[in-house]
Amino acid sequence: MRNAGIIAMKEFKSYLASPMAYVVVGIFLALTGVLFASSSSTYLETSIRGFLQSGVYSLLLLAAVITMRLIAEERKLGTVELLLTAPVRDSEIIAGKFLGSVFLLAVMLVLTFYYPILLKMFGDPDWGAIAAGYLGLFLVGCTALAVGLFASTLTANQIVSAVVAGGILFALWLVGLVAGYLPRVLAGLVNFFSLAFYFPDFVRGVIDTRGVIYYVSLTVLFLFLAVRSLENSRWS
Amino acid sequence: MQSSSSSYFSRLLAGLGVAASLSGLIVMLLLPGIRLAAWGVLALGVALLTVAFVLDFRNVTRAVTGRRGLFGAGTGVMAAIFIGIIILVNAVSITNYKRFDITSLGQFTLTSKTKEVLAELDRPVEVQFFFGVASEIDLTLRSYAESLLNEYKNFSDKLTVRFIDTDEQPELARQNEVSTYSTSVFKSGDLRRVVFPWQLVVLNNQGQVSAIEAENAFTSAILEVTGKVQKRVYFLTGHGEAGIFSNASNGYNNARKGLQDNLFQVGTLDLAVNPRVPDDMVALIIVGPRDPLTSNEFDILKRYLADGGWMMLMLNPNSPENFRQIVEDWGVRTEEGIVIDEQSFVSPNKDFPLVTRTRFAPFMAVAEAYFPGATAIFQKDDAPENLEITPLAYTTLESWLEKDLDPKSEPVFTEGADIKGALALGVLIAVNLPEEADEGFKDTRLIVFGDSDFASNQHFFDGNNGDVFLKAVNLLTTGKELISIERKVLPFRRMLVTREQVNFITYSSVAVLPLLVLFAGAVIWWRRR
Repeated sequence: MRNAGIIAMKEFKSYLASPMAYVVVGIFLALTGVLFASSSSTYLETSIRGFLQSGVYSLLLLAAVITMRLIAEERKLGTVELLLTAPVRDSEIIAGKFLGSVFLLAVMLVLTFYYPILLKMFGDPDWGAIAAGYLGLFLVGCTALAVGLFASTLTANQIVSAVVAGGILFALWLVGLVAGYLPRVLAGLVNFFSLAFYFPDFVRGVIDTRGVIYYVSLTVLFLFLAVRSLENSRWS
Repeated sequence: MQSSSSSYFSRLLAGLGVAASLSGLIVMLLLPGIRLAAWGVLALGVALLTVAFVLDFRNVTRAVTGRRGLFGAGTGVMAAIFIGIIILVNAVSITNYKRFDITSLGQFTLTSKTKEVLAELDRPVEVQFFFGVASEIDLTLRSYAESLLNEYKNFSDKLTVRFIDTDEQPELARQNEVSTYSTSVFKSGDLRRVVFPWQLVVLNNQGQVSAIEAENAFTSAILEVTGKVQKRVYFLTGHGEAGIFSNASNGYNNARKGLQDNLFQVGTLDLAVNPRVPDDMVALIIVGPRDPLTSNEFDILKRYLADGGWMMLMLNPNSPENFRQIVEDWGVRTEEGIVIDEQSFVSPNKDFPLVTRTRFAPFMAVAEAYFPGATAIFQKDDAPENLEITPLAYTTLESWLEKDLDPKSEPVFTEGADIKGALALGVLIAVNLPEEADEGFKDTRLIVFGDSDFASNQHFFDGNNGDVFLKAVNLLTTGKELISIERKVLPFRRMLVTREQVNFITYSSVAVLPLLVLFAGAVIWWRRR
C-alpha cells in the first residue's frame, strides 16, 4: 500500500497545484453557503440540515468533475502506458488515485466546518447530529468519487467520463423515486439500491450500520470495477 | 457476405432474446396476475438466445476462448463473485443492524415501549401528516415529525407514512377533517385518531414554543387506532346532568357518539353509588348540573382536582352553588345572568351568542359555534399566579351579561347592573410547569364552559358546536399517558439572531469563504503561468 500512498500524495499535490480544484472547491462552498444561509432549519433548528440536504447534490455533481481527469487524462496524454508498466499493481493505482481525491473531499468538507462554527457563535447546535451529518456526507462523497473514478477508467475523454459518472450517480440517487410506484416488496428492493435511502438518517443524527455498510460496499464495488476496467486496458 | 448477414441475423435474434427475457422478468415481478404469460415471454427470450447462439456458434466460441474472451470471462466471473459477496454482506447487514442515535438528547431513540408497540402491530396503520407553513413552528414540526415517523417505520412494516401538502391537496385535508397545518391523522381500518400540532409542542410562560414532544401522542394514537388502549372519560350523573344516552333535545347522546368516534371510551360516574374516582378515568365531564353536590361528593371532586385531575365543567346560568364553588379555587368565577351579544348572535336570539374564528383560541381552530343561553366566566383578581387561564371562546365588545333578562322584551344593557363584554364563554385553566418540576407535580387541568346546551343533541350538529365540544375534550385529555413512556421533551433550538447577525451569516458563508478559495486558486494560476 506504500505505492498507493505515494500515488495518493502525488494526486493530492496535483490537485493543489491545479486552479481547477480551487474553482471546484469554490463553487462547492458558494453553493453550500447559499443553501446554509437560506435554509430555515439553520435558524429554526440551529442545524446544518439545510446544507446537508441540498449540499449532497452539489457533491454528487462535483465528484464527477473532480474524478473525471484521474485516469482519462492519463489516457489522453498517453502517460497511462507508463503507469501500467510501472512496478505498481492496478489496485494500487486505483487506490492511490481514489485516496488522492478523498483528501480533496476531506478538505472541502473541513472548509464547511465554518457553518457549525457560525451556529455555535449564535446558538446551541446539536453536535451529535452535525457529526452524523458530516459522516453521511463523507460516505456519499466517497461513493461518488469511486463511481467517478470508475467512469474515468472507461474513456480518454474527460467530459464523457464526467457525464457517465454524473449519470450513474443521479440514477443511483433517483432510483428511489421509482419505488413509490412499485409494490411494497419490490419498492423495498429498489430503495435499497438508492443512494438517497440512508442519507436522511445521517442528516437526522442517526448512524445506521446498514447505511454505513451500503455506502462502503458500493464504494468498494466501484473501485473493484475500476481496477478491472484498468486491467482490461492492458488486453485491449 | 453470407456469413455477414448470418451474423447480423443472429445478433438481431440475440437482441430480441435479451429484450424478451428482460420483459418477461419485469412483468413477472410487477404483474403477478399474468405470471403465466410472463413465463411464456421469458421462454421465448431464452429460445431466441439459444437459436442465436447456435447460428453464430463459431463467433461465440471464438469470442469466449480467445485471449480477450478468456480475460473477459475471467473478469465477468470475478465481478460476479465480488458482487455476490457485496450483496451477501448487505443482506446480512439488513437483517442484523444497529442504529446509533448520536443526537445530544437521543431524540430519535424510540422508547422500548414504542418499539414493543410497533413490533406487535398486527394490522396496517397509515399515518398522514398534513404539512404547510403558517408559521415557523410548522417548519420545525414538519421536519421533526418526518424524522420521528420515519424512525417509527424502521420498526414495523405495517406502518405507512404519507406527508401531504395541505395546500396542494385541500380536498384530502377536508376529507380528513384537517383544518390546521402540522396535523397527523392515524388510521387503521375504520378507526382514526387525529393528533393536533398543539399536542406536540410545549409552551413556555410567554406562550412561545419551548420544546417538542411527540412520541407519547403518536404511540398513543397507534394504540388507539389498533383498538388496544383507549382513553376513558366519565360523565358525572346524579345531579340532573344531561344524559349521555338520552335522545331528548337536551340530551348528550350525539356528544357521546362523537367521543366514541374519536376513540374515547365513555362511562358514567355516580358518586352517590361509588364514592371514589375510578382508576381508569382520564377526565371527568360534568354537563349542566341542576342539583347540588352532597358535601362528600364536593370533597371528592375538590380532592380530585387538587391531586392533578382533569375536569370539564359545563355550567349554565343559575347552576347550583357548590358546583360554582369548585371552580373558584382555580382562579375563575361565574356570575348570575345570561350573555347577550348584539353584534354576533344567532338571529333572532340575542342570548345565543355566535362566536366566530377570530374569537376562539387559535389552537381551537373552529370556524363558528354558538352558545344558547350561556353565562360568562370571569378571571378572579386573586387568581393564583401559577395558573395559566386561557379564554377558549369569547363574545364581541357589544355584549354584556344581562342580570335581569325579560323574555318578553328586547334586552338592554343597564349600566351598573349588567357586566360589559367581551365575555369569556369558556376557559382553559392549567397549572404552569415549574422550572424544575418533580415527580409529585400536580398537573391539574380544568375547562369551564358557561353553557352546556351548545353540545346537546339539539345543537351538536349546528355550526361547529360538536367540534368545539370534541376539541375541548381532546384539549383536556392531551398528554394523559395511555402507556408508560418516559417523557422526552426536546428543547426548541431556535437561533435568536438580529438582522445584522443574519447578514453576517449570509455574507460570510456565501461570499467570503468561496472567494478566499478562488483567490488562492488565482494565485496558484498566476504563479504557474
